[in-house]
Amino acid sequence: MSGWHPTHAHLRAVVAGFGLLVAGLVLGRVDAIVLATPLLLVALAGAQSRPSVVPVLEGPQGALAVHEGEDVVWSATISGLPAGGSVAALHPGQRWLEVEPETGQVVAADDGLATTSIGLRPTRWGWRTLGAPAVTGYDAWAAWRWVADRPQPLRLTVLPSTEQPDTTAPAPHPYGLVGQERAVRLGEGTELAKVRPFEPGDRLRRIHWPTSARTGTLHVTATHADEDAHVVLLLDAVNDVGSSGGLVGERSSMDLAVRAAAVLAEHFLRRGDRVGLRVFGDWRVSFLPSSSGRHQLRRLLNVLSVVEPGTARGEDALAARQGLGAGTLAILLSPLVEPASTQQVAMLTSAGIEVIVVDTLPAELVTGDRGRSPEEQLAWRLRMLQRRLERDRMASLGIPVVTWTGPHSIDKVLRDLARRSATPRLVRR
Amino acid sequence: MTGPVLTVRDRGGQRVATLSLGGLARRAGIVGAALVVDLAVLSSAPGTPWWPGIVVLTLALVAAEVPDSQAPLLTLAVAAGWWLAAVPWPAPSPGRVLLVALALLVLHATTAVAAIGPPGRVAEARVVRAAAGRAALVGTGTTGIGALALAADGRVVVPGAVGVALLAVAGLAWAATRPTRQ
Repeated sequence: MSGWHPTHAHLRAVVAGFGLLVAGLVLGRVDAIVLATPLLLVALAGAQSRPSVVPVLEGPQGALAVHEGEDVVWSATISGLPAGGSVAALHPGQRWLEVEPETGQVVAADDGLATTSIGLRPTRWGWRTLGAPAVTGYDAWAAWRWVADRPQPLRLTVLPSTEQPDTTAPAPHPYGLVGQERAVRLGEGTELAKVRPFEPGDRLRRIHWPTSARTGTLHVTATHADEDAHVVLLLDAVNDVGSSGGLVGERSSMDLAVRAAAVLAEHFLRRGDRVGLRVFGDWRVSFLPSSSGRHQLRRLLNVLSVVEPGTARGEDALAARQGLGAGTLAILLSPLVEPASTQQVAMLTSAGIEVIVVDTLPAELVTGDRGRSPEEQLAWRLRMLQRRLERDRMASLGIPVVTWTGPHSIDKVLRDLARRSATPRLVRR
Repeated sequence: MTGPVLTVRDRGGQRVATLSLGGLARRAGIVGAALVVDLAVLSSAPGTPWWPGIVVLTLALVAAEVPDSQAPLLTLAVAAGWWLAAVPWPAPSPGRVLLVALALLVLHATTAVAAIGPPGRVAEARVVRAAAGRAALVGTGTTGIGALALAADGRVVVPGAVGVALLAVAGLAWAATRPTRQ
């Protein structure tokens, strides 16, 4: 729609004002004319102030990527407004999007120019198209209204938040070429391994002078090589258990899983490790090859933000094994509601892959009742008992199971795994 | 208008209603103007039935909730019609005529401002101040013209008054249908 149209207020002033004027003239009553006077004055002023120029709206377009909880400002500039005019703008809200002010705002125009700014705050990860804002211009007497063509809605890629853990625990199986992890073998690095006698080929800067002077023979320092680890995040998106209230409200199992995956990915990538991602239960996303660096973090967060749980079912449990070799650290993020997830853990462990299970079922669902009918509640309690048994069985097999309570949850497990990786084990190939 | 805002939400977090100082002031202005008309009519015509006053107040309440509709026009029409029907001419007090005229102006201006934007919106203070200033200007003009008309009543018959009014209607219709430059 374009152009200016009379408002109800203008029509009201015209109809009531001239109606009373005519009534006063016909009935010969001056009081009717007096009652008509203010309305007639407003009607005449409104008619006189009819704008002749159609305003132009310039607003933001395209796509934005933000983290959940971050503020975005939708701002539009409207030019060509009449003197004393005003602009009303309303950005539609939607689930997991806070709009401020959510009831819209009215701003005055200065020299025919008005700028309206509305704050947006996505509260849950995901990919979404926002609603188209409504912008309306008015003249000074609110007698004429211009309704702007709906501007293009913003497309938001809301990345999961990546609150970082304060952990110093090493990854258990470093075996790459670069990185911060201490390798088992000796090589060029920074961490001291031992002081040994000089051998041909040793660099002179490695000579350890105190020991050489004490013993009378040349000694050099040997260091551990600095290497990276291969980490694969396995995201169980078969079910999204519980309801999500956004960043600060209730959290579903997928909320916990996605945010945990984002935190872990950033943690390992910052250390120089290679991180990959495999998603189960989503038809769009299945696998992101391992890599390192900031671009990989961005790719991972992008993939995590478009996960749609439960869109693919019946996936082969063996799929988790593809592309993973011995020495890989696999972190399974799962609510452990599907028995298939336990099966995957068993297969990965038997293949010599270190697995950490991160339980992402919200604590209130483990203890509380789910379902409306007594039968449904009973079935849920039974499943929870079964789930507890499966967790205990995994723990008895030496598979660490951590309940995700925040970024610090993984620290102790990584330390234990790093210690345990030095011991020999028998695995099936 | 900014200020403290009370938002009522349902269990799902959806907004049900918003109460703000600005919203309360708008409603008070509209209903208060209707109340002034009621009191002016009832005091000018003591024997008149009181129920039309309830109708006017009810319509004013509706107009306050849906200002961008024909409800304010209906309120104005019923209020002015009640005055004309109930109060005999000449009115016992010319001052009350001016009071009712100003009350109708307040009702109209307040609903016009309330109709800018969606219900419950936050309006800049200067938008409200500018509207109040314009209403005050019209109020001053109304007082002057009204006082002149009331003072001249019964003394002078303005020749061709109907013709002037019809010309004004024609002029307004012409002004309203001018094409907008794209």
